[in-house]
Amino acid sequence: MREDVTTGAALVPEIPDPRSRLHDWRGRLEREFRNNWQLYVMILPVLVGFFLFRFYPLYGLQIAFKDYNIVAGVRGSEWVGLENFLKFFEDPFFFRVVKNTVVLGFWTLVISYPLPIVFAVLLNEVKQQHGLFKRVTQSISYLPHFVAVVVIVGLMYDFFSTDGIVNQMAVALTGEKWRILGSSAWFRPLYVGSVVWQGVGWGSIIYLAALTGIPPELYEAAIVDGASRWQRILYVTLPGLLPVISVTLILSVSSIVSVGFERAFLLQQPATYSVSDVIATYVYRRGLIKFDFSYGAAIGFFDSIVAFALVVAANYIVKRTNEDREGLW
Amino acid sequence: MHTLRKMRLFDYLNYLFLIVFSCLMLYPLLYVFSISVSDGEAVWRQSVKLFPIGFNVEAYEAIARANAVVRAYRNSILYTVLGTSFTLIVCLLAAYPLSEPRFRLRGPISLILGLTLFFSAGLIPTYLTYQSYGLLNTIWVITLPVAFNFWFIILVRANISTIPRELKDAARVDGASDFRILLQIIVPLSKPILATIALFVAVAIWNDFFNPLLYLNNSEKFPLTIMLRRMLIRGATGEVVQGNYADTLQAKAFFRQVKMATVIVTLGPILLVYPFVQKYFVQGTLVGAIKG
Repeated sequence: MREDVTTGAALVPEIPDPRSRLHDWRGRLEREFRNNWQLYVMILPVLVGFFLFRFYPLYGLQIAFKDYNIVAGVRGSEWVGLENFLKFFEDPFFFRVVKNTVVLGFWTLVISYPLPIVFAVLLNEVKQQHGLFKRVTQSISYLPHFVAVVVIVGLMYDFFSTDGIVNQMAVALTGEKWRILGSSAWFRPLYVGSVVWQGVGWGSIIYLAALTGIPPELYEAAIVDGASRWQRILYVTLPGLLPVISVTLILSVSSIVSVGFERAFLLQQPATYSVSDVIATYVYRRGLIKFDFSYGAAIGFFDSIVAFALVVAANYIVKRTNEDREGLW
Repeated sequence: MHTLRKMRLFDYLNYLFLIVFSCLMLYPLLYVFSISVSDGEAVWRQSVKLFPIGFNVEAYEAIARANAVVRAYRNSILYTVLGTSFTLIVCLLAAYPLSEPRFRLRGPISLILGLTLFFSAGLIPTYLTYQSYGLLNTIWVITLPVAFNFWFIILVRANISTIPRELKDAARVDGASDFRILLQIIVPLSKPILATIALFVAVAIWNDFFNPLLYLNNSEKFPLTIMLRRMLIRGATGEVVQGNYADTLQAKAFFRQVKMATVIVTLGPILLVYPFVQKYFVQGTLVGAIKG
């Protein structure tokens, strides 16, 4: 078949037969399937899964612009435009949940972002002859990362309860008990503290890896030049970390508006909602517990757009401020 | 090199700080273990501060008898094993075709699946969609969606592309099918990256609280994390301790030991394998970081 087509095309070269291209295209498709059918069989279940679990839910996002009711379903529900979003902006709790999310995210970022860098720099200062000490410290520091959030929060409920270990110490030191759980003043320190406990060691991995890439000759040269330890940290270690730091900073800026659900949800109590109710927990309560699906979807959508905008903005700022004009993209 | 080896005041302070830091990481775990195995009397007198006082395993016996905890434990194991297996299967089925240059749709498919790294539908639309599939309250809702993670596919694909072409070509010349190449060449040579992914996914599912909370409401299906929340945060004794635990200090202390014992058996599998697999975790994070 293909030979005929090519001969035909050779006879009248200036008028290509549209059918010949079609045949050619079909032939190529046939060949592709004949040669690679096993690859198609392999990837088919993967495509189906991604469609069902990752893409089709995106279609359901339209309920953010609809007045969803269970009987009519996603498709049949009535369009209401931006009503759900406007409702959120007028919600008496709007200001509270946005403020709580940003404040919590801000403190988490400010406190838990730099600590892994400090920890990595300090570990880097451990003498070469004490490699075992360094490795053991590293291993121990990673451990909390593998403890479930629900376990950490559950233990905090035990440790910080009125007769828990922390209050036993408080009584020994100050003679009085502190009311920690269920207290609005303590929620943020507890939240940020648990993030730090869990994340410092694990977060340092990427910096430690970057530090192994700094040639030892640089340190030796700095010593020959009479650089003090602070100068070596300032002029050798930190510049070596800078590329990684700019990437991790861009990636963590969006965490300001995407405070994780699990920790806040588990640690909060109705008594502390004034500081602990964040966007994620509010979406869950309004959307799934009170069945206000459209409203919950709209708030969630709003949140992810803001998070996305923050990443773009952070990338822009990093690009403007560093010399190489390099960001994530 | 002499100055680099000599200890100065800064070094002593630094070492002291790192030791204190390590203690802060370990202390809560040690304390939990000590409470769970100490004598009941030492616990209710609040004299256990660091190491166990006395020794008893009654709390562990109590949770071994408690159907709810045992069932939750079994569920957690089942979800973890199934979810991890699904993830590895999906990774291999996707990564091999996507690494074959002769596969024409390689580019478009990678691009489309890659979008899932940046966009997600969010809590409510995802919930409603899974509900419409009839997946709520099934083990599939916990184990299947987690398997479709393009990030892991990228890692496996990157690893496959380091396998010499000649190996695959030689097998093909010998008449091996793609399935056979996948099973007998790709899988054996991808073991380290598959192990790393398996560890990450297994820990994530084992520790997951969010998805079971959303999608499961039948207590028969609850994993350990939901049980832990009920016991540790809600203070529900469930079937674990009979009678009203608040009656006496002793009963209250015993329930506390039970809670801590449950935490220990939850952490147990991770703590046991952790020293041996730690390096895979670290490698995995770094591969991810570099590729990202």
